[in-house]
Amino acid sequence: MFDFLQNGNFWAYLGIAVAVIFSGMGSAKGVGLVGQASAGVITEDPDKFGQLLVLQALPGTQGIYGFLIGFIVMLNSGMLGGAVSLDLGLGTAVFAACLPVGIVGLVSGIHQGKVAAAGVSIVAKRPDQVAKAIVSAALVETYAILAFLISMLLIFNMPF
Amino acid sequence: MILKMEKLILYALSEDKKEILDRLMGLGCVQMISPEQIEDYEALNSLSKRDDPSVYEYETKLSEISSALSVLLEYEPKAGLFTRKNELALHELLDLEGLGEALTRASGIRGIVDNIAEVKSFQSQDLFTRQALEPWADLDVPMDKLSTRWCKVLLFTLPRETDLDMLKSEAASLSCVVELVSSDADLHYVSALAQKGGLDEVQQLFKEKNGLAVTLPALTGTVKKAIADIDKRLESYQTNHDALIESLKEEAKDTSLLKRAYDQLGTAITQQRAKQNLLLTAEAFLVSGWVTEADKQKVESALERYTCYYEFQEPGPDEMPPVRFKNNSLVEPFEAITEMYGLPAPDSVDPNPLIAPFFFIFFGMMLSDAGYGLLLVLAGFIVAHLMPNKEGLGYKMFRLIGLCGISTVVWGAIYGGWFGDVITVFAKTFFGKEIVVPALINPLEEPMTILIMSMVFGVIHIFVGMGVNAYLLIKRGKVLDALFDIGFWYLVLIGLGLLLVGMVTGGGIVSEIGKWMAILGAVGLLLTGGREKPSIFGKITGGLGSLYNITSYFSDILSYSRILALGLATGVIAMVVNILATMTGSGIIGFLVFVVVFAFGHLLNLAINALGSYVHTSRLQYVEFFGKFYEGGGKPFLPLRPNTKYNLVHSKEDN
Repeated sequence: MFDFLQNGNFWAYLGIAVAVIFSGMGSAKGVGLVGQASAGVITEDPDKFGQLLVLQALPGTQGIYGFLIGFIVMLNSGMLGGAVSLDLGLGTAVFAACLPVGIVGLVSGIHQGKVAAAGVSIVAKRPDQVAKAIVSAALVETYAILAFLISMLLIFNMPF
Repeated sequence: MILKMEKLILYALSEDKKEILDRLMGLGCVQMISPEQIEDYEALNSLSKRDDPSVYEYETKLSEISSALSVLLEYEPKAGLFTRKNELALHELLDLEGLGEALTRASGIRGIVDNIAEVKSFQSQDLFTRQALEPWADLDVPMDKLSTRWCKVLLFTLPRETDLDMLKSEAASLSCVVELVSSDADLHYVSALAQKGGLDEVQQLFKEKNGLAVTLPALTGTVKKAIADIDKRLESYQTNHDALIESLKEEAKDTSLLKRAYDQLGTAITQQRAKQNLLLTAEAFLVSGWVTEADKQKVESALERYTCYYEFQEPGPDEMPPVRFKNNSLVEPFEAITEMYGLPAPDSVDPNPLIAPFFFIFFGMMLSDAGYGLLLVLAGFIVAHLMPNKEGLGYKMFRLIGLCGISTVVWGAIYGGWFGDVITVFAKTFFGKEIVVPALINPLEEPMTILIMSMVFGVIHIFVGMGVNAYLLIKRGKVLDALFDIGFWYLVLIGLGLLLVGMVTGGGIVSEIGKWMAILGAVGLLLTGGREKPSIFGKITGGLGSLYNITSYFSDILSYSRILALGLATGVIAMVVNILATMTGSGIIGFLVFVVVFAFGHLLNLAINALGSYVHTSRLQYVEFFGKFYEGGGKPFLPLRPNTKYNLVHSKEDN
């Protein structure tokens, strides 16, 4: 009954799912956290919406990185064109290559969201200092970028 | 560069005080210093007293004007980015004569606002009464006749599910007549005519049925009549209210008087605050302030006509003059980046000319799409050109966007990205032709080339930062520190680099040189890293610790790999957008779908990735670059100048 585990296509599809699902979850959680925090500030001062939107957009990149990895796998392996048949070795390799962006995306998305949500209070009290809030949130993103880069380079070099 | 500041010390006659302060304010190039910072303050203080100006009166007036303005601004079209402000001459701003009229208008506006509030409170009172009366509209007994000598009409609400027929017959046995007046979704509204002798029993009966007694407001006439009266009143309130709003709109048509008063008061308050820095005697006063070296001439010629003594002093060794940058028009926009981080110490270096080229290159490599670059160039320069105020942070930011756009076009052309691969995809879908857009480096095919390029740029960036640190150390006479802390690191890092190059190209003399350079540098670091520690043990651990910093240099250099990652992200998302846009194939519908998806998708990608490029380019400056040399703590130069919000002061001087 576990025949599908011997199927390379299954592993490749699973890899795409991991990349997109987990990084998307991280970003959704992160963006949501910042959104909740900014709502309070916007009721007081609707003019700060622009600055807060920037902060809120920051944890959204993890989801994009995951999506990109998923898409590149689809593109390079020919899934977009129709049926593919990947052998087991290649399929499991794709799955492994998708793990970094999925897992790191999940964790860093949430934590970047927390930092950005804390930055909302900087915007509330000292809107001229918003750049510092943005930069400290961006420090968290570094690790998502590194994971994205590794996943990407691995997939580029696969012999589809 | 950071402009050199000198300290102006000015002694003048008290009779010229107002005039001199007005002129200094008009010049807008002197930042007042509190007198404690003047040399010999103790001695001076025993001879003179501090000026003690009051701002209370101005602040009360300002709050009145600003609350009137905030009401009117709701009815005035909002001022956009390009709206030109009204211009005033300096003497018009300093002359407070028109203030009385403005205050009268402000209190008139406050009167209107109070009236509106009153009308609103009447309105809500009447609405509340009307709501209470509404269910009883069909009660035909006048409200003041509910109780007669023998009988009384009681009013109740009952739950909707009450059996009314049963209630009626039970009430009839108490010789009480129950009538249904109205019902809504939850309740029946009933009246009960009872003899005064049997009131208790009737009340008991209703209580058993969960009825609640209702008391109507103390009004006369039938309920219908009362409701009609209220409606009439509400209508007149509404006309009243509309008329008041109309008069506010009328007032909002010309707010220039109030706006001028606002700026006059703001400026007056600034001037009063500046006076707190004066030292006074009976006949003379003393003031001191920072002036840039370049503006000394202006101050001198302004003071020419007064009987006064002044001198300019160089800042002392413990003094922190304020910081002001002066850069050419290409570097100036990048000051926005430094200002957001915090100004450098006045005796350090201006990082802007160094940031400029790297920010320019890195941003372009990250966004890396010529189409997006063109959009940024257009948007940035056009908005900057149309902005009336060419001095603020906003102007710098838009010029920065324009400049970064140029770099984005260049790198986009190198990567072969013009809205992704839209030219190829469009030609293939709609014309069936193969067009290849030339690219110098295709990032999807040669990511390693770009990765190496990014890191090489990173190494250069870091080396420049270390170089600035060495320059600062040497300037302060710490030549050995510069050699030990930076020179040795140059040796190690360049040596390791050569070693790597040698290994890739097949060894030989290059890697041999590299190896010995690295070893020499490392030994140097090991020996000198703990030179400030007193004990032998401290010196050894200090040296090891210094060598361990190699990890931080590696992580700094690896950090530049984000340049590749962000560049790939832009390119691949653009590609995805184009694939989605051409999915419906050729033909009219296909074309329409293409236009919509193309416009929306690329705009979204531009927004996300321009933000990402800006944030991560800034981070490379702040963390990797500034980390090597930056000495913060500078205070911005805030000269005494008219404090205006709604008006611009004539730039040309008036006499």
